[in-house]
Amino acid sequence: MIAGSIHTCIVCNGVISFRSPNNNLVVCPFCQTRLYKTEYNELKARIDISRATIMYGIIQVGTKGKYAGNSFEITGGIKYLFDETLLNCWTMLFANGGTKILAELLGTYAVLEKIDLAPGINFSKLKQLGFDGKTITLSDDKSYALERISYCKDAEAVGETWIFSTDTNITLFELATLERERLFAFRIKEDLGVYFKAAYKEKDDFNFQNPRQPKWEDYYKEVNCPKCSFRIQLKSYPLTKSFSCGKCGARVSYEQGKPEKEVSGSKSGYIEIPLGSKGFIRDAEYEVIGYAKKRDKDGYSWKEYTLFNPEFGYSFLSEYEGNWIFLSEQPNAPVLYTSSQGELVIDGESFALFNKYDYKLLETAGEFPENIFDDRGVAVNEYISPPEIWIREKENANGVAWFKGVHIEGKELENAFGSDKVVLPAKYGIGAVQPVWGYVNPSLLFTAVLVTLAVFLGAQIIMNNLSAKNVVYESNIILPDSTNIPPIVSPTFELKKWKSNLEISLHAPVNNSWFEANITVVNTVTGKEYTIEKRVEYYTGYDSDGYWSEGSNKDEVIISSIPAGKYYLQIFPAKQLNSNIDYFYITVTSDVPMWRNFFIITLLMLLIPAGWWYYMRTVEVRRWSNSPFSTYVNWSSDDE
Amino acid sequence: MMNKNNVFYKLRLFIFIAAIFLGWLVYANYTGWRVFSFGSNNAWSSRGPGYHK
Repeated sequence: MIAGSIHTCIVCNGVISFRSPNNNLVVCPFCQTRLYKTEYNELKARIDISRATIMYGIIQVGTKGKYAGNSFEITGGIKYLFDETLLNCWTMLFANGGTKILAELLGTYAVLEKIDLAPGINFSKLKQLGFDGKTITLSDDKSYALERISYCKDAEAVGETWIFSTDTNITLFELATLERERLFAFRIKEDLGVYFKAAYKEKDDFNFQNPRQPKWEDYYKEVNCPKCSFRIQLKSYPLTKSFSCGKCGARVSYEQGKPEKEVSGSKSGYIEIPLGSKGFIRDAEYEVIGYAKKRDKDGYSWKEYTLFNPEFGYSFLSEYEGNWIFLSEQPNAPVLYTSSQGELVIDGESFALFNKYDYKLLETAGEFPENIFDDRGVAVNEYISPPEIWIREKENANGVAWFKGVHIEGKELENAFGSDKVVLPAKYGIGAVQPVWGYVNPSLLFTAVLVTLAVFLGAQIIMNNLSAKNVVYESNIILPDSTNIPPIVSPTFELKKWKSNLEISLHAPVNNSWFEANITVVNTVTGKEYTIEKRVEYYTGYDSDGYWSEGSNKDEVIISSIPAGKYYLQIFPAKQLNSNIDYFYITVTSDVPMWRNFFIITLLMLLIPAGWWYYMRTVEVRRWSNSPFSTYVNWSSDDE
Repeated sequence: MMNKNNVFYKLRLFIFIAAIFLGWLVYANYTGWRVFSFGSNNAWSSRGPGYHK
């Protein structure tokens, strides 16, 4: 255990203790002064940092948990207020005295580990990279793409924590490698930076104890419309970055934390899920706080609903022709080095580029977590693997944001918001990520078919080897010259297996003649009979094409599924008149292999995946008819 | 409960169907059943008109 230190507040003389020597900022519990501990162990007031009255989310000072097997306690934190969002950086004090930073924002968590980069980053050069996949190689020999830039305007503190800057006017550059290793680079000034490896985690990775219970009211704030002074209650403040006035339709965006910028707008039309509707979607309760209708350059228009939950923050519902997608922003997102990439592979799953567009805003209502009214230059890529979708939105000012979505049925939304309160539009066509019943990836199905064929072949070979192939009767039978041949009766033979087949093989010295036999297998006890008729014939000759031959002097026939018992054969031979066939040879074998079964049953089995594949393909052709990146050839269109 | 991303879960319907066909193949081979064989295997009971002494 590393000992802390005790100090006296320079304002109220109250006794202040630092539990960890790593921490350098504390909010005096008596007078609330923000006190900064210098490298000389002296306290100075930080008037640029406010006292946080509320930190939102589920973490608070005193929250305990376990990370990577080590217990920790939250001693304090700093809330950085960026232009587009906010970020809580909590100090985790571990039982062994070590500290880490837990970056947290409404359901997303990342553990930050400070690293040294020497030389540091040339931020001016870094900024010039843009967000189109150009990379920079840092001193750790890894190539990073710039993902986002966020400008901090203010900071608030609570408890005892660590701050890496003497100034709150800092900039956060988020960088990532193709392998999704992430680097948070905070620019303090010029080219002076502090660098952290960021590892995104799930809430369950921390096993939080004593969490805070977020309330809807935490985010309520009343503001006046700067155009008509109408009183508006925001539902997600301070995360709200723009809103539409419900009275005059004015479009208001926040600048420097104040609703100052305003442009004229018109009120929206009918909204299928009214603002203020609350409902449970996938185990969390959301309130509809925003609505927007957008249109791309090809004329397709769709609607987006902004949802808010006090613990998980924003989610979105996107609706196109009655097909719905439930989306939320994902910080631990894929990394693209090129925006024209046609495929994403995430955790082994392939997502295909489905659409790429920019859009115009048509109408809005309510509030939004971004300046939705600035729709200039927002480039969107959509990658699908039904029922999931990844959407990449790139805007020139702040960079890239990724949203992960999943298809959701309109019926589920009606149940969530109340079928008596919402009337959802009728559904048309196949949704972009609408799951198809029984859908499997065609390559996976093909692999499964190959494996199945191998199993069938193996089973057939094993069964063939297990066949007894027991010759129960064989005889070379001399035929009289006459065509009036008496019937022949064989000795009795026994079939011991529960059920088995009998292969009867005939051989006769036919030459431009035929021989046939009507053979009856008779059960000596029950009298049950199995009759077959078999002919062997063989012809040769010459014609204009030369020598030809047809037929064979031997043939066989199988009698199927004969029960166990004692049997004999009754043979009625016949031969062509005036032929010189003077004998025939008969062999009767029980329990013989039958490849025919393998081919017939395997072929029938293959019809199932073939039909399955055709059905899936038909659906996919319809799905991809809305995409400019479809690789499907529409056979029915070709026919027309 | 099997993970829905598990390949066996995704292919459960195909595996079920393939298992039925495999069972059919094994049964047919074991019992000497020549599947879809019509006409070459006439059998009748001694109780019927073809009784053979």
